[in-house]
Amino acid sequence: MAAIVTVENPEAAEDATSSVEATEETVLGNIQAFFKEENTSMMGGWTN
Amino acid sequence: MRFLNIHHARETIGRFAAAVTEKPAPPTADLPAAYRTAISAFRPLPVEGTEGIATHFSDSPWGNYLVDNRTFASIFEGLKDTPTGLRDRWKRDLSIAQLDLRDTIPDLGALVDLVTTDLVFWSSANKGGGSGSNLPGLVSMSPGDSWKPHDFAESLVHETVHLNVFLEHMVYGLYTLPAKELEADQYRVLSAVKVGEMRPLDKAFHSAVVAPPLMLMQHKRGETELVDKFSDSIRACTDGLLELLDVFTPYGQGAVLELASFAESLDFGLVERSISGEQFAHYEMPAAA
Repeated sequence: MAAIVTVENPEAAEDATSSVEATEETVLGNIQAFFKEENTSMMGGWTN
Repeated sequence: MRFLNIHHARETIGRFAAAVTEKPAPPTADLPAAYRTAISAFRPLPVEGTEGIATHFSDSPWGNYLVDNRTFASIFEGLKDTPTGLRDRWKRDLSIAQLDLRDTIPDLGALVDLVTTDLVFWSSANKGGGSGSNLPGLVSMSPGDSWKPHDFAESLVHETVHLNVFLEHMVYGLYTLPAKELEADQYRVLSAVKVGEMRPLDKAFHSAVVAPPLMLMQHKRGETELVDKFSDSIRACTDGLLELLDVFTPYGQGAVLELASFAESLDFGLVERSISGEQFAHYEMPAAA
């Protein structure tokens, strides 16, 4: 995620960057877990 | 119902693309291209082009891949080649369906345009649509002999909502157990769509999420078939999902509670606000443990 940070407050900027990185790590972990084979799921509705 | 919301879909896809490409989330204008690059990393065939739904048939690379891997195997009963005239008619009806959808429910049309990148048409004895968690962006469709453009639109929306919920599952997590474990009897819930049928929790949940937009589409056309058909079954389904709420993550619990609220009210205004409202856009991700 793009972080909007203020150059006047470097500590806040650092916190925001860390938060963004933590979110990306969480999302990446979730994506990797999702693509494990046991999570494969097909959806479909078929009628004759 | 956040899972129908165009703004939330953009946020989710931005997060997905940022995590996969290790680049900042793109601005809205660049989101389709970033999404197509990101999902291509997880598919056997990449997305071609930067916009629109690419159509394929059984004799295409996608057709061969799906047949070889028995993906959507139930559609392969009575499979045959699609003649040129029928291919053209289906592509024309699909285009009409997309135009009508953008006109009648613009943000639902935008969701389709963003999330669905490829559609494989089949001439099969079995009619309907399908999508898979491991094939982001891809829809399979075997149109019925008497399908009108609005039937194409309903099938396209149906599968797009599945694909969008799969994306939310990827980014936020929906269940506390993997899909395999949700097949156990204690996690089965009445389906909202396959009326009277007990389905694994994830499939029952997916049946419930597609019902509100399909009911809205028919409601806008002045038809009552699906509204009548689903009005009781969606409540039976959400009652079952509520009993198993602890099997959902916090994000999933929010979706179930929103669905239960719709099942109780059958308020089509809520469906429209869910699709377009800015208030459903942002989901604050819990802090990492």
